[in-house]
Amino acid sequence: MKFLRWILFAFCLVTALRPAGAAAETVYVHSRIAPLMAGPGLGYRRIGELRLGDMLEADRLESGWYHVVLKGANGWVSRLMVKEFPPAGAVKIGRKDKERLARHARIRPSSLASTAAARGLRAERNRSNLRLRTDYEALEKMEGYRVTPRQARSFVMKGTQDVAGN
Amino acid sequence: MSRAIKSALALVAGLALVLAPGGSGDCGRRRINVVKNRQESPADWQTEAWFGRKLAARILGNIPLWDRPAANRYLNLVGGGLALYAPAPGAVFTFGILDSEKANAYATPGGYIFVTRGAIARMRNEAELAAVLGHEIAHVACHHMAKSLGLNRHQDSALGGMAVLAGGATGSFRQAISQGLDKGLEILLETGYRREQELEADRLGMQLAVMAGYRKDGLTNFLKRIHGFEPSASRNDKSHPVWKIRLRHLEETMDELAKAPEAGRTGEDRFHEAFASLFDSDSVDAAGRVPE
Repeated sequence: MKFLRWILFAFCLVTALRPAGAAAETVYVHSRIAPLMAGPGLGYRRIGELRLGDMLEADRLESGWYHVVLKGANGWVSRLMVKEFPPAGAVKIGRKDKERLARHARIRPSSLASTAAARGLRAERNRSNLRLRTDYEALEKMEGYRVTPRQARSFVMKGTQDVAGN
Repeated sequence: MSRAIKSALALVAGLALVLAPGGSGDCGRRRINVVKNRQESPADWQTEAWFGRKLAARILGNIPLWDRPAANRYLNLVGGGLALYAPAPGAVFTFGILDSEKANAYATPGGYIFVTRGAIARMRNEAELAAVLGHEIAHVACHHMAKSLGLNRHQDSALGGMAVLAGGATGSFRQAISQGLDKGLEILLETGYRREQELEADRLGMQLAVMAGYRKDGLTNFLKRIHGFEPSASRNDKSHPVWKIRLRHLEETMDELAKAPEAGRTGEDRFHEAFASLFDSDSVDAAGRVPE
């Protein structure tokens, strides 16, 4: 019996003192692209790219970088690019949302003014009125300048090639 | 079981808790989390995008868009390139130039990012622009505004249920939104984010810029120049932490990225080509002011 206790104690001790990264943890890529590096840092060789939603087994954390395994290959990914749950999808604001926004924009001044009046904050109300101005026309114009991830990717690659060419 | 063994097992259990590996981190936190991060849902991102768009419209209602298509398109290409690396799967990033001489940049939840004409006029190259945009993208990715205002479902606040966008259009709900927008604008234009949030954005933003291939010293170069230009403004500007603290933190972050290649790109040529009107010597003074 005493021998068994010692075995149990040794097992617990080994479990407790195992290296911190020995147990694999599942993490998911949360960026569209996450560089896979040969070592724990951006100065190492870039050996591949991970994609949004890739599920990885991380077995070690060093200097803010996880050592990960994906489909048999392994490398290092920044801790900032991954989380322990799958990524949520991108969202779009639809036309109905825009209509609701416009409706709220019309309603908002009165609700805020009444709140300010209830508090007796005339100066605050004046300042708020200034801030209540919105410009959805300019916002839609700005949204028209948005680029697709493919266009952005091409732009980044071109810059990298320009540097390499020099 | 003897008392000695009980004590030993208790010790072992304690050690196991202390030494066990944690989960993955969230943005710039140094220590892996002991408490698991709360899972983001599409509804949280939708809430932020909805609120952020309203806030962006307010910003544009107070500071006009600098409507130069080529310059804004270029800004979106630079920002979009950085956003590829941002851990913000539910954000749709949109970038715009504000027609203001003051040097500043703002981000609203969901991905609307603004940089002023005055800030761009004080930059020297694309790497500096990327560093500033990276910082703002990091605010979005780290949900700084959402956390400050309690926008998401799990947060116990007046706006915490805003994820039910359509169903919640009661008077008190609208009032809560209106006050939330006021508070959001106040954070952006006056009080600023908490210091640790700014430093967290610096850390992630710098990493995004380096991942996209830029030199790592873009933000420090830009901030040092701004500090030189506007010593009085730096004292009054509450939207970012005291320069000295921030610069020291940036130097530390750069040291951590020491293995990053020194020779990232600066993109000077295409930056000056895109913003030619800002850098025409006849049309801009030393402080970056462009005549109307």
